Amino acid sequence: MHELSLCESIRDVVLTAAQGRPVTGVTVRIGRLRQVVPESLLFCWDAIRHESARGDGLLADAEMAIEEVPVTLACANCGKQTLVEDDLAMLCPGCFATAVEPVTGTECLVLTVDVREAGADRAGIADHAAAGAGMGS
Amino acid sequence: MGRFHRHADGTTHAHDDHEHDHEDHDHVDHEHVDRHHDHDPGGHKHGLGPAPRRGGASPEHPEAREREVGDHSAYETGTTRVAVLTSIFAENDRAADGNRAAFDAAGVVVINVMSSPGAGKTTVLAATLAWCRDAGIRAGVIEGDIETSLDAERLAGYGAQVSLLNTGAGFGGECHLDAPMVAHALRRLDLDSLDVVFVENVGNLVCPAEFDVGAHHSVMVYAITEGEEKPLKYPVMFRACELVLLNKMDLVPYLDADPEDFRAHLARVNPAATVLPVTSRDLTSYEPWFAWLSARLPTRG
Repeated sequence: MHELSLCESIRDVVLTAAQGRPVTGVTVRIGRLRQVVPESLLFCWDAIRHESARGDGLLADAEMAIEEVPVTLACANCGKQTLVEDDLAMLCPGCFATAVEPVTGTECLVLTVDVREAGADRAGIADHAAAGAGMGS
Repeated sequence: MGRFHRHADGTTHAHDDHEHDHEDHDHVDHEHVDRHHDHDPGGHKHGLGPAPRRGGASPEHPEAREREVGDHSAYETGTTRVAVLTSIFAENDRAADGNRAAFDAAGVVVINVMSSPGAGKTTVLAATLAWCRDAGIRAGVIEGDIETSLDAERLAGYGAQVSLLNTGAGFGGECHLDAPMVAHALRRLDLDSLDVVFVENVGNLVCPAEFDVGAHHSVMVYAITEGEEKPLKYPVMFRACELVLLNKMDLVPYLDADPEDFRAHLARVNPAATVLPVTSRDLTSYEPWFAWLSARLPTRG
């Protein structure tokens, strides 16, 4: 349900990281506690790519890969860490304490952005400006 | 950890490519310089076991290799991998911090009110605004709805300042309020003349929990008619609130749902949450809620 909103946020993070360079790939890491449906996220990301293709095109080729992270709970009472396979219960299976906190499963990050570096025909991009100036214009 | 992605031809599949054991949870050295989603077994550390496989990936990832062959042109013209590690919620959280700072500067306590559609948020808020008016508490409401001003009209006439946000108009039909939207709505409230602001979120059990709007407290209105098992199905939402107003309790005799089962299910995902049963058919049932609220409002004079 919130996947389109997430994709809009991802777009902003990615464009900031890309600094004007075309993006060919994006990796995101999403914990299961975020209740993100991967198929929906990819579907919405396609919408972002299509929108980009109609505009500056920087994200038109940006394929998304999703790393899903399962939920792990840490018990403040006995210190045991538990991987949650199925139903989420905020209960330590070792000592039955309710003082558990998720240590994984809440991630919601843009990990990496692959950008296409400007070729000789695209002088003036920030990273290359210095080299271009050095070439004696 | 499962990896899930979609190819240009529309097919999706998942990789389960981290079968090895991991010792800790350190991703800083995870550079992703590989081009076919295999990871150097020594360079990728999680405190996690393998995730269940999603979709039908073959161990050899033939589609992935085929796709990566297609990608080589990009690498040859110079592709750089930028390590980002930025929270997808970073921008929203910044705006939420800004909202909270504005509330704190004005000495206003802000309550985010969430529920599914039809659970009774607006009815509870109407009674609450009437109580605020009678108790001399100056209240404001930020009313989020995808369409229509119906709820805002229901809340007019209690002496509260009401700022309507139709998320369908200019915000893309959002299923939740986020911090920038609330910041926009704040411009129509005179915070300095208020004691409390209720943010009536869009009715939805998934999305509002994810977007911090800058409120000090999150409260959920949950109708017992929704069944007693929902905390297990929507754990994020039920974890995000500190108080559940268990509404429509007058209907319990006609239902199979058992309030005690609801409490037990809620305790499985949020042991610290308070549950207060309420019904609009008996206004005295709101008294514990008003007491909870009073205890969190700034004392004046």
